Amino acid sequence: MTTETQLSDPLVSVRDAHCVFKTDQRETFFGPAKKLHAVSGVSFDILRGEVFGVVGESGCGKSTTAKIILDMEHASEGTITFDGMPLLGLSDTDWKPLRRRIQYVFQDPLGALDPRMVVLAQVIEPLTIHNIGTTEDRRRKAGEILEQVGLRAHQFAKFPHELSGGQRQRVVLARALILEPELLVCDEPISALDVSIQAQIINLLQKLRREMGLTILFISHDLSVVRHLCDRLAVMYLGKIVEQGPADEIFANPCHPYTQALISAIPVPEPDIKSIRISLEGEPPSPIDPPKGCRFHPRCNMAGPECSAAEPSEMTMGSGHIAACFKAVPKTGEGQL
Amino acid sequence: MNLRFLLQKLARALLTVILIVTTVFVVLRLTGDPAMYVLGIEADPRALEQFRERWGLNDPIWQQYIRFIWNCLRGDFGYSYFEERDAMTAVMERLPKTLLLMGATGVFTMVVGIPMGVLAAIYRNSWVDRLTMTVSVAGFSLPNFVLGIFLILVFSVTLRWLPTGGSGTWKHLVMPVLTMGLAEAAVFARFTRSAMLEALNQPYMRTARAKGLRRNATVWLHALPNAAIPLVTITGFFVGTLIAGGVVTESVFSWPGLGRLLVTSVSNRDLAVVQIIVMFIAVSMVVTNLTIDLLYGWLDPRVGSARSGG
Amino acid sequence: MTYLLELDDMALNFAIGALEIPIVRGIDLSVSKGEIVGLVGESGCGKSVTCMAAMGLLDDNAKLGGEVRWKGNAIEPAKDSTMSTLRGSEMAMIFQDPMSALNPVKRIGKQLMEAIRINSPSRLGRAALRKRAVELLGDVGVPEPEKRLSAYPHQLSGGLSQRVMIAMMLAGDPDLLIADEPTTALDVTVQAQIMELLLDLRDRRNMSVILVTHDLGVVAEVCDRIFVMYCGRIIESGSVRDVFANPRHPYTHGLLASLPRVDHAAGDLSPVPGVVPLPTELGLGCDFADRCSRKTPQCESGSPQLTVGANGTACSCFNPFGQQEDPEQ
Repeated sequence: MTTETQLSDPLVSVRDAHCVFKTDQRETFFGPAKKLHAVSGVSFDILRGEVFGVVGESGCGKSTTAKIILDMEHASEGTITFDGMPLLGLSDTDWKPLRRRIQYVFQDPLGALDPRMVVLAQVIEPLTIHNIGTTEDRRRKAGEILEQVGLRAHQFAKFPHELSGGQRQRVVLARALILEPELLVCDEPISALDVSIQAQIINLLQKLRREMGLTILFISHDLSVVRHLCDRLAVMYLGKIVEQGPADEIFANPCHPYTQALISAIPVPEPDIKSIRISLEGEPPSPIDPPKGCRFHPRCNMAGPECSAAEPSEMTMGSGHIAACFKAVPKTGEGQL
Repeated sequence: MNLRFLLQKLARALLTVILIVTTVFVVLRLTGDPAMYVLGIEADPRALEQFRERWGLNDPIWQQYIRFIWNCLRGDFGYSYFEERDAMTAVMERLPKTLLLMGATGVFTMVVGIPMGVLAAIYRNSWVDRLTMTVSVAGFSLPNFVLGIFLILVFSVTLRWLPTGGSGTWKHLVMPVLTMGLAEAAVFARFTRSAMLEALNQPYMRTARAKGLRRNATVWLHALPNAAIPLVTITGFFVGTLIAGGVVTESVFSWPGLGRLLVTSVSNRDLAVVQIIVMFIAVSMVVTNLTIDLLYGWLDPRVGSARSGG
Repeated sequence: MTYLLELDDMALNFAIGALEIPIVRGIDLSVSKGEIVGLVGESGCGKSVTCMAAMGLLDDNAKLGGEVRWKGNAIEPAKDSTMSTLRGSEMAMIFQDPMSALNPVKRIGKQLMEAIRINSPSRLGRAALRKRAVELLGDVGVPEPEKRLSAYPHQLSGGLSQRVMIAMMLAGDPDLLIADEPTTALDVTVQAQIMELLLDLRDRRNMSVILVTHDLGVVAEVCDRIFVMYCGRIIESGSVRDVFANPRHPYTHGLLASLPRVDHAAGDLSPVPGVVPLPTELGLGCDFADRCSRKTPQCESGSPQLTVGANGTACSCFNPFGQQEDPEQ
């Protein structure tokens, strides 16, 4: 679904961000310390008012990417700007006002909520921390936003464990949005929920985005949800973005072999459609020892000699559509009969 | 197993031993005059002074310390004032008795405690479980000297089945082992129970049954190896308690081992003997813990592997 | 035609203290040779425990009602002695999250050989066990099977561990493999590989599969028939083709309509409103009534029964979709 985006300057701009973790293997006689390259040079923009998706499988670095934007992990290189302001290297004091403008929702709503506070109190808390309004104002605002996310008044005084998974996630959303942030970072916000509830939360996110003019960074492994929600997206593999562009465009013409395999792997709930499945050989390699050259080449059925020699740079496949592959050729159709 | 890792552990172990021995060395010399203990309070001051000169007790502590270390390195661990012979010989004479007591207690503890815990876990919430847990609480709540004296009262004084103290026959072994072992078996039973419950709840138990294994077999083949891992940890503590408990128990039962020797030597400020026994204790604790560290790595293959995944 | 596995009015009550909570309330399910059956539902509907009960893997606090039949003969899932001979050699089960379903302190070769040993009719020596283990790993597509035997489970990826589990469960050459959410914890490309493997095993060995899942996409791709569970009851069943094309129960219908699709972008989704009721919240009427767009007064007062339609699909609803004027009951 394409939505008109308001302005053309990006709200968030990430350029060549890297995030490296140390592993347990320290420097020994046998070699230097092993590092885990979670994110290795990703660049993308998030435009104001859009929903930007980052997809990939486990170990691809999508969660870490979200965390370096939120300053939960330390980016070792690169630049990240929010509304023109560079984020890396900011002190904690400088971050405090930014916390009002950037909020997040993660996968486990039960873990995100304090088990000993009723939900209304938890939604009021951000207002207290940032000193907004009087006690009466805060109560009122919290009640309003809880209703906006679909909770009823009789549920306000409940504890998290007394609510269902979907209801908890709504509370987490309310708490995140009560400060009226500009950017909402969501990392697998619905993966832990039942299928019939997922649709409810997806609709809720869309509604809130319309009503509050939110910009959303949506991290997920579920391409169906991403297809539905996102305006543009980036596909990650082993710490790198292999393809990015408008969602419709990427699903209609996936150019990178990994994206093609990923999309073809998704089972469609219609028995008569037989999708042509592109099988990936082997196992995803470890981010500790990524392959030389293109990181995908050992599993790629189109790989050639140049693929192991050098890392492919991003090639334009269409308007706003980039793929990092030597062999990428824009495909027409998705290969479904 | 990484060589560097091993050497680091050994170095730390050595440091620990040195620290313990030094502390005891200093404390002993600051808290009382050996001369008076050996010769008696009413001894002639000149005799006392002679004694101190003879043993270098008037020298500054650091000097005494260096002399001590130097002697140790040459194999001379001092002279027992009280027994008037080489201290190491005095200690080594008692060592086998203590080892016997500790060994027997150790075996008793494992043989009684672990199966009790396993049964309590398998028959969770049944009468077996409740009984064993109640008994175990009683076991470790009772101070061991109380239990020891009580046992003597019942089995030696009243029933006349067992001797009150000393060593020599298996009958002498029974009560001391029970005194130390019951509390320890109780602790092991509790720990084994929770370790087993944890293991029995794991998904791989279901897999084992789904393969076609009988329920009993899954307990022994799959749950126990996993439950053993946390048990290994408490074995380290157990050795420490054995040593501490051994001191009290040996005193109560007049068991002629190192524990009793330690008590008397401290009272008598028989410095060299105390130092040797403390060194033994320190070394055995450190060796036990080192062994357990290494054993851990062998028992649990997940320990020490590099983490991966982003 | 004898079915392989039949659940006849099966019920499961869990004893928690003095209370007995009904989790599964009278279901009928059957699997024939060589077919892949999907058992679909959301968390708490009872699909996993149903399968575990049929295999006799539940604890003693689970009280089983109704009858379970294997190849026509009634079996007693609670009897460990008889069930352990059936498990592995006739019916087997693989679980969600393969990494934790394998014993972490044993090498996978050992675990695999144990499965072979238990289910082998004759005594096999170590070398023979090893050889068979390597064969099985090859059958499920594990690369370099010889090398993998000495690995520990934590050294394997999710996909590989699941293949190892499948290999373990194939050791006895069972007729039925129950797969309880086998790919929920795995990446989608790995899921595709595992599904392909299951299909392949069905074709090569004529093995039946019960696939327990909440993913309707997977069911559409792989299954021949589908059973939909809600609150411990089967509310719709039939061939996958029929049920997906014309879902009659409002729950099934709602679920299918609410899924975001990767093959085309929809406007707003139409989710199923409300939440799944807890087992303790169920009353007299239809379990789904509170959330149902087609509720009638009849739905609040009584519980509908499963009625079989003309094409073999069954649905338990007083007011299903596609209701003809002439009643089909």
